Order: sequence, then C-alpha cells, then structure tokens
Amino acid sequence: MRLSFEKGPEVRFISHLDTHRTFARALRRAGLPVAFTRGFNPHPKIAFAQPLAVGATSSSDILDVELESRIDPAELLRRLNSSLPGGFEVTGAKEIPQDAPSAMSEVAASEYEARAPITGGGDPQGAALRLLGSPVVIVPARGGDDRRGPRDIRPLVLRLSGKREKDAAAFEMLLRSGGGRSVRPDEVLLAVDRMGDGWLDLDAAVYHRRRLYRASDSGLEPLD
Amino acid sequence: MAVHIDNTIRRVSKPARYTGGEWNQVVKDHNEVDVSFAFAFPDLYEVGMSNLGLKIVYHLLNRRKDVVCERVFAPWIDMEALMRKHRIPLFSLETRKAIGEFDVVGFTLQYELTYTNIVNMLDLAGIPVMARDRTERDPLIVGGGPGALNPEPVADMFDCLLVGDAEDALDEMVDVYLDWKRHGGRRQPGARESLLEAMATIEGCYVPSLYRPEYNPDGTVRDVRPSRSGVPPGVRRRIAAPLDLADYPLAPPVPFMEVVHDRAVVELFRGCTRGCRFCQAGMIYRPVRERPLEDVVRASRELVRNTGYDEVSLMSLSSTDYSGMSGAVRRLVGELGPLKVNLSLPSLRVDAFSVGIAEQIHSVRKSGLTFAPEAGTQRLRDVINKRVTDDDILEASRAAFEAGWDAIKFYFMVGLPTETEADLVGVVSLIGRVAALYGRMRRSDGRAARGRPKLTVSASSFVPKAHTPFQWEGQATTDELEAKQAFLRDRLRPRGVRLDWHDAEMSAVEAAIARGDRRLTAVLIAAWKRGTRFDSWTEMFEWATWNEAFRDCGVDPSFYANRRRPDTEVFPWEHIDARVSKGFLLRERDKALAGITTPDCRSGVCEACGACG
Repeated sequence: MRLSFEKGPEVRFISHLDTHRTFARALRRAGLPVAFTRGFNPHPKIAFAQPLAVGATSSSDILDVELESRIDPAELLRRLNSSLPGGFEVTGAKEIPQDAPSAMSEVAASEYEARAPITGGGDPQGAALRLLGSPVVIVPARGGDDRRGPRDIRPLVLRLSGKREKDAAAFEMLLRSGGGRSVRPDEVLLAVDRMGDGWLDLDAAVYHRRRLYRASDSGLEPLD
Repeated sequence: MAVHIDNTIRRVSKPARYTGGEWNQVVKDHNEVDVSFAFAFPDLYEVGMSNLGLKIVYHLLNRRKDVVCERVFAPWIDMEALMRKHRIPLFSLETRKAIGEFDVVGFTLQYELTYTNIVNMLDLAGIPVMARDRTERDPLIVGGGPGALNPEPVADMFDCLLVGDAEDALDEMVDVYLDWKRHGGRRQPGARESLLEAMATIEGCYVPSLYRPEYNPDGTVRDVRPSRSGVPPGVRRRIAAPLDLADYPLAPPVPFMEVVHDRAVVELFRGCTRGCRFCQAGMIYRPVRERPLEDVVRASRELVRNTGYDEVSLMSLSSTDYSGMSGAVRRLVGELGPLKVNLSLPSLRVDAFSVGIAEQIHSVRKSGLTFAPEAGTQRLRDVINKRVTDDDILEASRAAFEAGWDAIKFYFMVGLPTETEADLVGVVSLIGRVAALYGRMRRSDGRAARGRPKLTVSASSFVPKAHTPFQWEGQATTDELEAKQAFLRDRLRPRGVRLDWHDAEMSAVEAAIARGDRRLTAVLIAAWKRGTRFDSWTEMFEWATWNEAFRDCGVDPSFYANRRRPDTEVFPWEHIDARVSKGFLLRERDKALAGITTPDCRSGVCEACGACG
C-alpha cells in the first residue's frame, strides 16, 4: 500500500531513521498485518520514497508498506493515525500492485518551499530570476560522505521563484532528486545567497517539502 | 522561549534528545494538578530513557490525577553551551517548562560518575546547589535510586532522599507534600523545615539536614547522629512487597531516537539470593520478590501493544533463578513469536544455561551472548562467592556453540581481594579452553565450526561498595589495575581474543565517591567548576582535573578508595540501614578471606542476613 503522510513542525527534528522506526512501531501498535523480511533479522517491509533532512517538514510525503493480508485503505489510515505520535499524520492510502516499482526508484523531482530571513538588502524575485538565467551555478562540495567536488546545479533546478514576505525571502522550487543526480534545497538557497553577497540568514532557514514527483510521458506527475 | 529553544535545538547533534513529543508521553495542564514533579536523569536522553527506574516513577506519579511528572535529561555539551549563551534555563521535555518552576525536582543516583551532572543540572536550572542555600522560591530537591544507600557525597545537595523502593513510599511523600501545601505550603513561616520534618516521618525517607556527621582526628567517621531530638537514629530502607503489576509501567514513553536499550522491559523479580560478595545490588534489593508468571506474560503482551517495540527483555539480577523459568520462556515465545517480537534474556547464570533456553529465547533474532565468571580460578570465585565452576563455563560455551552462536562475551573483574597473578593466568587459560572447544565440536546442524570463535573478555576494575562484604577492602591502585589489564591484554590479543576494559582511573574516582562522606561534596563542586561533565563517558573523563579538584579541597582520594578499613570503623552510611546486617556482612567477609562459599539461601539454609526480618 502506498501511503501519503505529513511530517509537521512538532517532529521536524526527528531524523529519517527515527521516522522509519516511528512508523514501524506505530504499525505494530495499530495491529496492522505488515509483512516481514525473512532470515536472520526480520524487519517490517516499509520503504520511504525519499529521506527528508532533519529540521524540514513535509506534506504529501510517501511511504510504501507491504501487507500480508488485504485491508481497506480507509481503515488502515484510521488505525495507523490513532497510533502515530503527534506531528505525523497519514493523509492518504491506496493499493499498488505487488510488483510496482519502489517509490524510491520512481522519484524524479521534489517540490520545496524555503524561507530565510533577509539580513542585507535584496530582492528574492530578482535573485530567483538571476539564478535561472545563469548558464552555470556552482555550489561547493558537500561535506562528509559525499566525495564529489564542486558542481553545477543549474540543470537540476527545474523551477524557482521568490517573493518577499515581510523580513524574509520565501522561495518555491522544483528540484531534480532521486537517482544519481540531485540537488538539495539548502544548496539552492546557498547559491541564491551568494549571488547577492550573503544577504540571507541561512542558519535560520526553514524548509518544507511539498510534494514528490515521478517521470511521466508528459514530464512530471505527483508520486502520490 | 519556545522559539528560542527551537533555534538552539536545530543546531545541536541529535536534536531529538530535547524535543519530547514521544508516543505515551504524559502532558497535563499544570493548573489542573496540585504538584508538579520534574524527574531529572543525570545523563543523556539515550541513557535515561533506557532506565527502568525512570519509567516506574513516571508511571507512579502520572497515574495520580493530582500530580504531573515531566522528564529532563542532562544536555550534551553542545546544547549546554547554547543554553548558557542564550540564557535558556534547563527545561522539561513535555512542556518546556523551566525546571526551577516545578514544585519538586527528583534526581536518580545511578552511578557515582554522573554526580557532577547533578551539580550542572541544578546550576543550569538556576537552583542553588547546596540545600541550605535554597529558599521558598526553589523546588524541593529529592533523590533516589541505588546511590541513595550511600548518598553522603551528595547529601548536602538534597532536601530529602528516598532509600529503597518507590512503589509505596513515593505516594506517601507526595501526600505529605500535598498536606503541607494545603496548610499554606511555602508561605508558612519556617516552611521548608516543617515540610522536611514531616518527610522524615516516612519510612525510607532520609533528610540529610537532620543528621550531622562527626569526624575523628584521623579523618574517619566518629558518628552520624540526629542534629536534634525527635529525629529517628537512622533511616531504614523501604521494601515494597509484593510487587504489584498495577505499579508497573506498561505504557512508557517510546523514544523517537535510538537509545541504549530499545526494547520493552519486564521485571521478573527484584532482589537476589546468590550472595556474590562484590555485588551491591545483590545486597540492597533483598529479599527476592518475584512477579507471578501471569503478570509477566500480561506485562509483555500489553507492553508490546502499547509501545510497538520489537523486543521484550526479561530483567532481573539473575534471570535463570526465576521459578518456572523454562515455562515462562515457552509461554512468552509462543505469544511473541507470531508478532515477530524477539525475547531477550540478559543476566543468564552460566551454571543454569542450557541449549534449550538459549534456542527458545533467541528463536526470532539471535543477539550476543554474555557470561560473567568474574574471576579466572575456582579459588578466587570461591572468595567472591560466585559459585560457578570451570566445567559450568565450558559446558555453557559448548552448548552455545552447538546451538549456532559463535560470539560470546565473558565478564571478569581485576583487582578482587586476594587476587594474584595465578588468577589472571586462570582467565587466559579458561578462555583458551573455550576457544579449543569451538574447534573440536560439531554444530547441531552437523556442520563443523569454521574458523575461530569471536570471543571477547571484558575486564573491569573491582570497586568496593557500601553494604557489601567487601566494604572494608581497599581498591587496588590505578597502577596495579592497569598492570593487571595489560597482563591480560598481552596474553589474550595474540590468541585473537578481544579485550574490553574500563578505564582504571575512572574506577578510582568511582571508588572514592562510592564510599565517600560529605566532605566529597566540595570535591564534586570543584571538579564541576573546572568543567567536568559526563564523567562516565571515557572521552569526557579527565583524571588530571579530578586530581586538581581533590587537591583544591585538601581531600585525599586514596583515603576513600584504597584504604583498608578496620572492622570497628564507623562508615559514613552507618545511619542508613539497608536491612542487611553488618554482622552478616562481616561473617561473609571472613568466609571470603578463608575461601569458603555460602550457598544460595533459596536452597534452604538461611544465613540470617536480616532482609527477611
């Protein structure tokens, strides 16, 4: 079954692994017939479409659950929601075929909202247009495990718009994600910030992932 | 403050330590209760949330409609730095309320090396560290847990302490508090004093300010006596019997993040009758009180339903001693197996281990196996009264290997009384024989074992503890302990056996505090002022800083840790009755030095320790 869920502000600091654990336990509490892997260390067959960074919230997020027996999607939704801690809510449930491709393999793009306080002067709308108009946008290598060097993210930014909301810059963006080539919303904000010589307070930026998309004949369509 | 807190949380490692919001957390409106209680666990979230005592107290208090209990843990150093920078006082998880605004703050004394965290948390909460400096505006500071059996090193920081089981006493303390509040509470003249006097009438409740220690010229304790008339001469440990399932936490808060023990815990019984002479828990939780099988089964079932954990752990000091153990395991595996919930049984006695039990309990998922011989020769095992033989150890290992385990961890201690090099050699030869077994046996599936077994030896340092037969012994010096650990390492490593060891210097500080008196409070505060935190974490412990703190205060740690006490010495905890008599402990000490064992009193012979009287 493919579930759409929301991760709200109360649980924004719960990591992806913790979220996985939370759902596994909630499914057990709800007494739902989840299928388990075989072998040495059986665990429930749950698969998320795409991890979410710590600190971000999401709506229309996706997770697939394999069940041992059929259950009415509305009933699954009701029972699971009454076993989930506050901040997590399942908003939709639908059956998908047993052999359907995994959600993770299908994800092609992610839609984000991002807000950051404006420290210098600056025009979010103009900054967005400037980024879109640049043939090349270089961001530094990510730290940690990622051993890639600095790279051009311009082709990975599918849509970007910005507007001013009081003392903050609010952006909407559609970013290529999943598979090998992807860009994170904080990298896009970093690029926007650099274009204006550091006019945003990136440390205070908040991110919300609105929706995930898969590739289709006509371009992109929602995954949920 | 909420926004402030969010802004700091987002910048620290493992923000889930500070967010709360877990399934089964209890949130009440403070205006609708009569007492607010903050349970302060003096270590990280992931340690505290694995602690059964916290879950029990949380349950006992929150089931009362007139009380709210919230949790707070020691913030890690990155969070502490931000809190101090932004002047964010220590706050509770459930409602982010400042700890200083609670009516009562309770700390659990689990381990001596967490005591500087208590100082730090009081300071972060804006509460004066010393009880005598607090006013009506400050919460009542209470303590409990195993450390309350000798709380003297921290006694002057506490208004009162509960010695023993919380199950009945906690309600009594809350009722006294409510009564005091109803009669004016903080607004009464001499308010705090009248409250503490009322608390002192509860059995098990120790009010340090009502007792004064006096010292001899040589630094030993002369006396610990009541500081005024009408105060009982001592405090008697509180024993809850029988253990009622209604008092047991069947819906504890479930952490979001990974914690040390990510499983549902069912207590099989409290107390132990084996009488291992080094073990404080085996003395201070007597007598044994078992939970009936039906309670254990019901608790396991309800815990899984209420928490969603995929593992249930049966807990006690010596689980194979549970009456009808194999029947219990069979029942539980039958119930939990279909739910894909694993059953784990730590604390298995080597001499009762069997393939049958092992196969059953790990039928869903195999986890590591540990045995605790503690000493390498029969002679030394007899001294410490660990009545386990070489054959028991070999037989248990063989059974484990045949059942398919190839990794076993063996717990030993170095520095035990009367230990010689021969005993250390004993450890090495014993492990060698276990390894040889592996090569020779055939597994139950018919296949020969491949390669070498993964054997680990954990060699911790013996720390003499209060209320044990070894409370008169001196701890070996750090040089001696390190030499012993090196001796083992040099001989085990070449054989492919891994050695885990506990830092000898940490054990030395633990030993000084464990049998310390009130003069150690200044040392704890001095160490804290010099920046010590989380001393139980190897990467945080600073031997040099502790030595400076001892020196600053003119206190010699070896007086407490390494000195052998004469039989006539008055202990700093003399006024605290653990219900096990000094006479019994001395008899056991004498038998130890003569290498004579004492059988388990469950087998019929009573040694008159005093616990059942």
